[in-house]
Amino acid sequence: MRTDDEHVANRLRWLDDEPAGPPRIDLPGAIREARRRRRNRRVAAAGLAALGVLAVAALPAALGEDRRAAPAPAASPSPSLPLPEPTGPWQGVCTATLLPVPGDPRAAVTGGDPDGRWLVGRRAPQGQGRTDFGLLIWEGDQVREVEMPGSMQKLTDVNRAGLAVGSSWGAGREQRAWAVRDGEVIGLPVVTSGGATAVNDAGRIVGYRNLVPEKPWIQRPVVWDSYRSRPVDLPLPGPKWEGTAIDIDEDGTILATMTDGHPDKPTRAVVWRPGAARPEVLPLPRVPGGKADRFMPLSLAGGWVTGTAERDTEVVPRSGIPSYPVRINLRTGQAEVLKGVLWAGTGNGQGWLAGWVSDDVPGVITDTRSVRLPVPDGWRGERQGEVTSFSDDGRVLGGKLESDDQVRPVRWTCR
Amino acid sequence: MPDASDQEYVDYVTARLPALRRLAYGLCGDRDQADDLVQETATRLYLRWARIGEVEQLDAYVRTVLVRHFLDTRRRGWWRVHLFGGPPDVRSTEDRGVEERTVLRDALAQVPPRQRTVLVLRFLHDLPVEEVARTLGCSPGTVKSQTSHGLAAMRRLLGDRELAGRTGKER
Repeated sequence: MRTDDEHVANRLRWLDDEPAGPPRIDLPGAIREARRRRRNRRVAAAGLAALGVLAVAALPAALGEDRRAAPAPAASPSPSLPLPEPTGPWQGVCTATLLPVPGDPRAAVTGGDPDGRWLVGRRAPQGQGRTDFGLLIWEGDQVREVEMPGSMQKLTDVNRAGLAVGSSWGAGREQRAWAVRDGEVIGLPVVTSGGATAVNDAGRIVGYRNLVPEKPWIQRPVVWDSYRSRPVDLPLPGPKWEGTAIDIDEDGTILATMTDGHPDKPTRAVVWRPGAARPEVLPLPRVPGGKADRFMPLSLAGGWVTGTAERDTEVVPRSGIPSYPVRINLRTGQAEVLKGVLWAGTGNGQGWLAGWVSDDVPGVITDTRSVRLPVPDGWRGERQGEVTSFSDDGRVLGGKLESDDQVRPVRWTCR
Repeated sequence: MPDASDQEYVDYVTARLPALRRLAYGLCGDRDQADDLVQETATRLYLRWARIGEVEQLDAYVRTVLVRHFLDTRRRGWWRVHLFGGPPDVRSTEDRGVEERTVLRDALAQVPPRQRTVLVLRFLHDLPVEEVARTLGCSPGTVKSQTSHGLAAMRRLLGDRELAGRTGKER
């Protein structure tokens, strides 16, 4: 097994626990039920033999679903406030700050806008089953709390006007897509089950819908023209392709992570350019040793698709199969493997990447250099975490740091 | 009520309850649904209890009943009509990594059921490939490929914008 698979397997072992609370297994009840079935079976067998007909089980009635109409949209989002001008070329000198959180400080940043003015995130889970996530939106150092219906709530992106998007699980097994504008939570016009993953400054939103609510892993990429519009299916590269849109550029180009429906086929990046009739499946980039076996896109901004590429090898190095940072220039189609290793993260409008880099520390990989990100003053213990937001000018990053039971939202600012 | 001849059955199932609940919880990630899976497994086991002497490995047999029932319910969508078809459940103790656990369970719930079953049996219950193959009624090769697809799905889900790079340290 590959070592990074070992890692996932090790993490899976965390889940080896009994459910909380007393069991409600009723053994006398099981015995009674078994005896009843035994009797019924005998009766049914006799009845069938006599009638010579086949019984057909009645289909269960569909569950009623919460189909609240989306609230009437308010005026268009207010323009963003003027930003402080960046000073001089990017030097890669960064500082880390913990973001303010009212009450319990455990929280994480889950996305941000291209300027780094807005960051979105969520608290550590609360409630029975710990699946209830309170949402947070930071504008600079001001934080606003948002309650989204459902559970497993998450905001994944926000645009320069502060319009945030995300998703949650509904009361059944379905997922719901949401926008948050000025603190108001707005259900995106009906997708039976689905979620929103990204929004651009024009207010176009992308995400996915689930073909079958009870099979959330089968997804189709969708786009909403605005939070008032109905979702539209994006045309697929082929009949069986499935996956989700994960980002939308300011010019309207959409990026999705998809597979062709066959379980043996790798994850690919698919893009829809504005005005084009068909999507393009981006070629697998070349990495050291040959063509990559997988490319996992992370973001699309400024015409750059960023992501990580892997190539399977006969002998797996001790440090695991390298996960190469890759950027693809959509203007030229050229893919470029940047120096270093990146274990997930996100990209920005210059085709730079940020995430956890070699030696397991947070860092930035640009086209020319690699920079480690610091931890805040007084931070003790491990440097686990993630980077989920990277501004186009490379000067503001958002993410989280974890150590023991601590989870803290972090903003890095670089000059 | 169970009569005296049922005592052996009750003793056996009672002793196996923690393991069965663990398995069921790993598969479905939901407390109530896990208990329903175990309840149904206990019922089916009782129906066959009189002939259980023919079963060579009782524990493996009971595990197979539970796993196949789980997969069956996924195919039929039976659980949708129950109240508890909700989001993944998470242990409610205030221990280390509550968010991580929630995120992991959420990711596992999004892996196709058969791949999820293979991951749970192999990594949460440490069963060898051959044993998992017998439980699922498929070839060891299929178990291996399902394991690899399941792990790839988990890596994608965990790396994909949710929980990045907790990788290097434990390598």
